[in-house]
Amino acid sequence: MENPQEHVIHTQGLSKTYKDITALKSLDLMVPKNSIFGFLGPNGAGKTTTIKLLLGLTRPTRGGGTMFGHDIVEEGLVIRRRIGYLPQDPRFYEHMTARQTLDFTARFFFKGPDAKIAQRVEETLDLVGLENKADRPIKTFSGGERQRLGIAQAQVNYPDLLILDEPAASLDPLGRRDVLDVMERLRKYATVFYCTHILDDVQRVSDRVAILNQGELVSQGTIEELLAGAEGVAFLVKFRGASEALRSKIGKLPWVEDIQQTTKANSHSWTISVSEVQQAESELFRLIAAEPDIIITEYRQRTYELEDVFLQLIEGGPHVRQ
Amino acid sequence: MSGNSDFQLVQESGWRSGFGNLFRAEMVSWWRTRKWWVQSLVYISVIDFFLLLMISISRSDLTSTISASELLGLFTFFGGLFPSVGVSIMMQGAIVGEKQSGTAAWILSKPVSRVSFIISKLLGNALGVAVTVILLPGIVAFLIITIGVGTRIQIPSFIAGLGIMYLSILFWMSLTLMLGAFYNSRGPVIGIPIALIFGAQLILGLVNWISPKILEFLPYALVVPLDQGAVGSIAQNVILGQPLQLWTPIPSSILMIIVFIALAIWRFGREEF
Repeated sequence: MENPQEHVIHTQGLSKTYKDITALKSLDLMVPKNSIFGFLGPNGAGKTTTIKLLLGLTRPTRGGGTMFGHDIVEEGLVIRRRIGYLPQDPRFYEHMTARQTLDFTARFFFKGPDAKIAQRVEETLDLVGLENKADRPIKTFSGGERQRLGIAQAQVNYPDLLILDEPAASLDPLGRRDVLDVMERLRKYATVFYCTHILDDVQRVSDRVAILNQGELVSQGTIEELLAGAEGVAFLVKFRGASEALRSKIGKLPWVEDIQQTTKANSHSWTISVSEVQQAESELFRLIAAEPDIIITEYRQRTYELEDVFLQLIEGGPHVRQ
Repeated sequence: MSGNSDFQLVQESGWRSGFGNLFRAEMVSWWRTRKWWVQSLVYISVIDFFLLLMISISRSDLTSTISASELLGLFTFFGGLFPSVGVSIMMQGAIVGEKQSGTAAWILSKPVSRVSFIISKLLGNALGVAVTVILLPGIVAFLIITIGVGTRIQIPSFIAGLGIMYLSILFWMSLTLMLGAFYNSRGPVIGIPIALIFGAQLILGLVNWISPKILEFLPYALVVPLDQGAVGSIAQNVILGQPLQLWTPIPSSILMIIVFIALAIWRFGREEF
């Protein structure tokens, strides 16, 4: 049983309906303190709705939740003092410069000293690589520069929780890498809760992941838990030569569950699902290699990526693992 | 917050949360940009140039001269009603523009109450309008009338008259603010006040036909002469020091401004972003 006190975000039955459309169905989410929590799902899954509910920008139809132990509906102001938020499509006052925007944001939290606020603004500009563009009006900024400014303003107040909605969107590969580095650096001080479509990034930096589909939570756990819960262990073998006799022989083994075959010209590719990993590891390759009429071109245990799990869960329907 | 021990934390709470910073930002956008002098120049040009033109025409036509009373009637009418169009256009961006652009959602993701968002927009713009639309064009008009016609106008009366004109503009400002809270598109927010301003004569005629009593509670009489000019506007009469034949538009306008602001706060509090 996990201790709710250790969770920065804790929702129970959080639901949102817009007229006839259910955007979020009874979400039970627990985000541990100092974690990097990836919140995944296809477009329209309800990720941004969840964030807006957490921030008090919209009200739940049913259910509720707490952040830092405070009610998300009744105590939004207290909660927002401890949060930094990057919207999916960051918009700022166009007439302000990046420096003015960060100063303006900081002053919602700090009233002084002015020198310290100016120093903090400089630090955040430097952190996102906007120090040379600090005094340019935002109306001249590109999408990537706005995104960087969005990340800067989200952390100017030293938040305990950083909520990032698609933080790597509009960024080039270098910008993406920088954002992930920032997130990893912040782990020591803050919790990071973020939505993204870039699953490679999630696998690289996240501790925990929740997957949402059509407003429903389909899975929640650590990356390891999710990967372990994929379709079981399988071995991939590619070879040339006659395959029928070998297939019959391998298929009769008690620990072989299934063989999926694709053939291209005279080259075969098998994915062999097994129930006994150790036995398969020690015997499978020898059995295949012992066949005189085939040439093995590739042999390896299949490893699952988060993308495989994600697609499996999204296409396979609800399967909640807490 | 791990790194903020060196800072003095903002202490505002409840409905005042974020007000200081938002109001400061409004002040900066008015007084540290070219907005204040551009606005002033536009309204001085439009309102006061018209007065100069009338004096000039009057001097060239020996058969008739324009009186200070007539000039003040023109000034209170043009200075009180037509800037309301510009002010309404400006105010529609304050709420509906920020809702559409996404900046309102961004601001409200900070420790900012929705009440302070509305109040800061209203007060910030009300102050800017008071100086650029009322005070500066008013000073220029005062000089034009006193020097141009040679009539002595009582300064306290003139200031009171400007106050009545300001009340009229505040009415249209608060109406636009309320419409901005209710609607998510600019059409009705800007269309309704402009239709009511430009259709003033038509509306007054229609209301007069339905029940003349209603006219006594509408804000038009603050700056628009009634009864086809037989009854001067309240602002004009105040400046001339004449007894008011009609005073009810003053409290009714104040009441409607309060209601509009209350409705704007109520509706914006329920807005979903």
